[in-house]
Amino acid sequence: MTSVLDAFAIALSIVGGVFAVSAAVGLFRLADVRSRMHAATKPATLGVLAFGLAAMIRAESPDAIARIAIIVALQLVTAPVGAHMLSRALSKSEQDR
Amino acid sequence: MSTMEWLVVGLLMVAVGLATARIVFAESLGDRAVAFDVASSVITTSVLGWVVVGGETYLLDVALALSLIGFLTVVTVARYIERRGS
Repeated sequence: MTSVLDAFAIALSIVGGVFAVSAAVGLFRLADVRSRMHAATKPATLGVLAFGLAAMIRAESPDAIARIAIIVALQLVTAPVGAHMLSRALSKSEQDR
Repeated sequence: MSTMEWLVVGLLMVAVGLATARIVFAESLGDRAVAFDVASSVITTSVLGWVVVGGETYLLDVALALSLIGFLTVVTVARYIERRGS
């Protein structure tokens, strides 16, 4: 049972690593700032989510599991808010010119 | 560590390196803020990866503080762009 859970955690973390690399590659490959914001929010958040699940499987203490849950929830809440504020500021500063 | 765990560590190192290079070679201020957002969440991911691979949980407070600082940085740069232009 333990080895099955370990294999599941490793598989989840490989998926999360691929998501993290695709977020970083998207910063270079996508065309303008707004499409790069897509790479900043969606794949990066999915990477944190996958690694959070894997770390919850691996961590023993309830204290660490609760802290990982707080980290994942904060990332889920703050990434869209930050991207929205940034894109609003960019469109306002482009209107002024 | 097994081969799969080394693969996870390698993927995270590539992601952190690419995001940091994008912070240095960004085109504008908004681009740099987006790159910093990606870098902070990828480093948060790496701390969670250290929990998975190494089994150590003492760095979780660092991940918590880092994700909050990344969000505050993006908000601050957005306010700056709104006031002064990129």
